[in-house]
Amino acid sequence: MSTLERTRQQLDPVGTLGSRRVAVALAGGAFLYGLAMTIRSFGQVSNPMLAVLALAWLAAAAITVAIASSPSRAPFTRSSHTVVQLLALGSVALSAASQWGTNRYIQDDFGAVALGLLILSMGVYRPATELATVGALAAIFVGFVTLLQVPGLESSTPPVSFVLVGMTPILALAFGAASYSGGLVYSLERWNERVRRSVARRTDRMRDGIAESVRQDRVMILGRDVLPFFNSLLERDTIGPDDRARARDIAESIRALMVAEADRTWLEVVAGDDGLAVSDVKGSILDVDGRASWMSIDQRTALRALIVALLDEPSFLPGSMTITLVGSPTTSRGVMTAAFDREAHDIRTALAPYFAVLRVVFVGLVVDYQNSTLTLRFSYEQR
Amino acid sequence: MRYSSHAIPERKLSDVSIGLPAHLAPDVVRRSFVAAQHTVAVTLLAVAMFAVLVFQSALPTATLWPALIALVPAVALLVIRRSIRTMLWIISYLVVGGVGIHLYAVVLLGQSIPVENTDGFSFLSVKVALIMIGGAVLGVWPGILCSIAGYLVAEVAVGIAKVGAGTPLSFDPAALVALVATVIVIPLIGIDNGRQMWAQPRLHRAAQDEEVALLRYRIEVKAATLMHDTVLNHLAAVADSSGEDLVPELRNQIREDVDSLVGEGWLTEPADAANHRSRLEWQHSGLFTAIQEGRMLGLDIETTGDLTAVGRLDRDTSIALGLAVKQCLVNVVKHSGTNRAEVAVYGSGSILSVMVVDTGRGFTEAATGADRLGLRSSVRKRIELVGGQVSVWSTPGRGTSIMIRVPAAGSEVLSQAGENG
Repeated sequence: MSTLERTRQQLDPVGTLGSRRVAVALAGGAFLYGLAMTIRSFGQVSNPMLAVLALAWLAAAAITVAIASSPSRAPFTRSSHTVVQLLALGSVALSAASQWGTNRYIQDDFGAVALGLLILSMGVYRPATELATVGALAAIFVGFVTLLQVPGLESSTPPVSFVLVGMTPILALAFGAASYSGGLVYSLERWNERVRRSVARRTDRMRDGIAESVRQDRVMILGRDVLPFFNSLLERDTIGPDDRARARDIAESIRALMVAEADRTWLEVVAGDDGLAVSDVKGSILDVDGRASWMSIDQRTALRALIVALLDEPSFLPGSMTITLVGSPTTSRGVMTAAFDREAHDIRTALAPYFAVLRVVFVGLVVDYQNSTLTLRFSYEQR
Repeated sequence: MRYSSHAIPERKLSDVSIGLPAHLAPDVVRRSFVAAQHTVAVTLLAVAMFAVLVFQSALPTATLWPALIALVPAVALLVIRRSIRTMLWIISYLVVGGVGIHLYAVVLLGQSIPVENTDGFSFLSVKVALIMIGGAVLGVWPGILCSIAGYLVAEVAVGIAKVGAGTPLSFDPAALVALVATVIVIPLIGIDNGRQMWAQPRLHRAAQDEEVALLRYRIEVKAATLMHDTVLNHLAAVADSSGEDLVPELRNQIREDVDSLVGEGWLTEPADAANHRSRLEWQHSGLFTAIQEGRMLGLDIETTGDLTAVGRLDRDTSIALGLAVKQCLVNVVKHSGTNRAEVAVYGSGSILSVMVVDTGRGFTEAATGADRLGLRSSVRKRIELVGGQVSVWSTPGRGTSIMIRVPAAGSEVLSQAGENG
């Protein structure tokens, strides 16, 4: 798992599932604005070919936003953002070239507004600092391109004013996007902190109860063999050959039990706790190296939630869940399968929120539906 | 040869996957959206003011600076918006912003500088700043209505200024586009994916369960290592004993086992925080006790290094270290075939390292069935519970070295793991 970025998508994957329509609307709006402004000021275009190319690059940037914001491709990465920026800046440069020497007004050039709208469309997906920085850099680029065109413009005002006109929309929209992203993350982190404290308090209240139940488990194991044996030794105050053999036997059985326990990972406990017969557990979870214990808390939480949701799903076929963890000393790969009594595709919506969370905490989650079987593939690093 | 460590996660609840609950999400999203609108407005007004400065310096004879002053109140309102009730703020912004834009336009139109339809000065920035009024904090419809109100106020304010200056009125399509875009986005922002929000409680539940499972795991490890150190070692002592009588030492240990395992409070954590953190001097440290007990087992133990560094450990770590070292010494007695061992202590900064070295027969990983449990549960897990690490090097015929590294008091690892030890 890479470190989480401070974006709403990564801190609140479920809440971000519905944000794509806004991103698509804004990115689409950026393209439509470019199209409208190009048509409106077509008289200033000296090279129509370049104007069309500029629109094509802008369309590619908007499409990149639409694709990268898809929940099944989450999270929206920095490299996707870079692609969007490069395409948009390329479009600005092409547009300026298409009006080279014939551009009369800066305010009817689409570049700055389109770029600003594209940055705004990534508000929930990218961190505030990145959006603000990229916006400022893009504004400088657009300002520079504007400055190059000043000699041909139809006005007698100071050149800086053109640069300002060119930069304003980008700066305003990028700072707006940064403020949106930052505000969401701030609220999320505050909320998470509150939840974290309440969970910790609740867990602390359970501490004594848990300790007592563990103690009783142990006493039950010991009460069967060890305590009677020790008590009889204390009573008799002698050790015979039978006692030595018995001590060895008891030690061996306790040791075997402890080895089995030490080998049992949280994942087997979850799968066992939630409806599978204990005898099924070993067959369902194939994890020879105990790789489940390498998962971070985020990863465990996400996988636990999915398993519980699966076992609660009415169409889930009990006992059909298998999880296999294999890999190298540093990287583990997981494959999880589950079967349903109908097309696995149908339960997609029900499980989508869990996939959203898994996608953020694991590397390269792949969800596959085949007939009535659902297959998940993911990987993670040993921390 | 090096054992891979069985990782125990830090006691830290997840950052992700909790997310905003359904009843909070729409409100948070709307507020963030409005904050973004206000950032846009501040940026636009700031650029407009900067543009006035630019023109003023380019045209020193003109009197443009009052236009800059005219926008200051609107910026001030945007900055202090949190301290005023929403409805009052919206009305104030419409009035202050409208008057400000009007005066701004009057000043600029009164001078002989190119305005509108050239790039020199457009009123677009200040108009859009008023459209970004941010009524969406009250809901979708108030958001749309406020934006329209902001648009109308701005257009009227500029229009009146134009009429006064004798400039022909003209339609500004860009401002209308900004209004339409804002009005389209507001309802999109307001909607949240209610259908999928039901997964949220289950994620909360999973986070809580994970936390409880971790706590239970820690307590179980503690119980298992305790059992290994006491019951299993004493069973082994019985099995290996010679003679008819139960020797007094063994009898006492067995009696203590029976009492402590059946008695209550066996696994409860020390509650007193001051006691919890209190540092033990060398003579009272777990390591000192372990070495004394090792000597009682017949080992010739040489101690080297900075033994007093152990005083920097907190109570839990000191106890865990002592018990772990004792288990290492027990292993030397049982398996190494030698009665000599060395315990070396190095304290460097936030880490304390203890090395237990013997020159006995060593072992290979494959041939260590019983040891595996001793090392794993009594040494490794116990040390990991207090945020430390264990490394084992062993070569058949050349002896075994076990390096135990634990965080000293005040270091960061300690504060996370120490309380659970």
